[in-house]
Amino acid sequence: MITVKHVNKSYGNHQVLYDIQAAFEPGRVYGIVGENGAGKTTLFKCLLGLEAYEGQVESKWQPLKDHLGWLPTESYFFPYMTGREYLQLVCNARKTGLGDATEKNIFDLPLDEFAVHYSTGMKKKLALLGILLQPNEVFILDEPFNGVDIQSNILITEIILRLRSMGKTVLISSHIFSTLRDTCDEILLLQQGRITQKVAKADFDQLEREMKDVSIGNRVDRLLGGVHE
Amino acid sequence: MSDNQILEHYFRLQKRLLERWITDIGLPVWAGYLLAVAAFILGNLILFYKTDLAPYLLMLLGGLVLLSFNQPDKINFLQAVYPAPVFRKIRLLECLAPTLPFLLVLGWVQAFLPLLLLAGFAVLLAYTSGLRVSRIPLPTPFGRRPFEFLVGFRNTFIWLLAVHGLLAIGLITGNVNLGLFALMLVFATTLSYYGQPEDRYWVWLHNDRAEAFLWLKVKTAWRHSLMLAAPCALILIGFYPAYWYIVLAIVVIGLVYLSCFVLGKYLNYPQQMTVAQSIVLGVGLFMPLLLFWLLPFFYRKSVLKLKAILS
Repeated sequence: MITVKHVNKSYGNHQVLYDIQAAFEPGRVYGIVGENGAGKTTLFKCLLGLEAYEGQVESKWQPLKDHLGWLPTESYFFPYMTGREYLQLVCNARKTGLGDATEKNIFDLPLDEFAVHYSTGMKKKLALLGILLQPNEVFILDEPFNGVDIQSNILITEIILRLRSMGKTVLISSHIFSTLRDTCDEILLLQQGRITQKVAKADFDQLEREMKDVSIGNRVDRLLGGVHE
Repeated sequence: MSDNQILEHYFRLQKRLLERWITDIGLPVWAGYLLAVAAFILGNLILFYKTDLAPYLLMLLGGLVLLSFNQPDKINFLQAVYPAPVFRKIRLLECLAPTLPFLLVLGWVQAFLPLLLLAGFAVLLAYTSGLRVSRIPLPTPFGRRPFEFLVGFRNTFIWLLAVHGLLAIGLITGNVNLGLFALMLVFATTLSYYGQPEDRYWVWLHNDRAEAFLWLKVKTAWRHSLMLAAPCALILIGFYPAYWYIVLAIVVIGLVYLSCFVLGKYLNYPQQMTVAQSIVLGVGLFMPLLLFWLLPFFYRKSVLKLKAILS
């Protein structure tokens, strides 16, 4: 269980997170949604311990960072490093063996080629594979479905559901609502640095309708109305 | 827009970026330029006063500076953005410009062999971007702990070949000093592998405390540098057994310098070393006794910086 208590985060005079309070339980999947700049990645970085903040993040796993698997929106890959070597590095960092990488390569990645030459989706899959090979208890997945092909999307959804049944805690940020509906038990709506709604699975459709109303409004009419009528 | 106008625009932009970097490290732009020129002149005076191998060391420094400008992502970007003739000119100018001060000094002291080697290396690097970004991974013995040495070895492979060429010339001509110099070059090359601090993610990822993290880094650097230098050192001892103690001394000093660079990478982490820290490290390289004080100081400072992430 991770408990977030009164977390505030500012960069100079610019406050990014306001009094964030949440509890993330084992065996549950949480979606964090919000517009670009709402503070999702900053919240993740506070949980990861990569940003200083006011407030508390409590957990039974100490230190929490050693039990966290983080999939950033864009992972960095070293030049001249193959996919296999990347996985070895990621496993070494958490003092766990890589084992038979070929057997675990469920995304059929070309592990003996340089990772920097992978496509966007392949990079995402390699980075995800890396954190899945570590013995993590909590997974923070920032846009895990971005740039990934449809087959892998299905596979990633299945992986998230399996992690949940294994008692892991999973936090996902995604701009594709359907992926959240398929995987999440609860969705937290982050707006301008504040958690404004915590929505249970039964109310996801209502949330989607509200988000559509707010996001679309009359914007399409403003853009295309005068041009194509 | 003509090719020359594109080139002019590109290099004006580079000048602006350089000046922003100087401002970022806390210096007025004019002071940055002045400091760079003064450090170069002073460094040369000390180098030529201290050792007869100064031209070769200068050649090495020029090579290392050149390699530090050799950023694969940037080269790929340039290749994608600019027409082929402009890209070639940019690469040639970017490889020759950083070496020009070194070439001028080498010409001044009439050290024509190192001058030609350095100029040749610059031209080779400018024209081998295709080879450099080869899609075929070179096998290395560093795969069990892949990072600095694995990436650095593949990045400096051509350079290391040239260094071993020097060793071969030393053996063929019976010039033991050239062989010993090649061994020094191998260690000096490994120092460049620790020039840039990695992204915070790659430190955060480790489930070590700061002290253990640093110790592991140093141990890995020792093990990998010994693996890289072993062929050169063993061949030298095999051909010139009487010089075993000099080979050993180079290896030991090389490991001490390398330790300094490993710790130095985290002195101001996640930022690069400050100008003052670089100067202290530079002075330490010329005054090895100072390293006995510097190593514990660097260690304590780096641990403090890393604790912010690995607490």
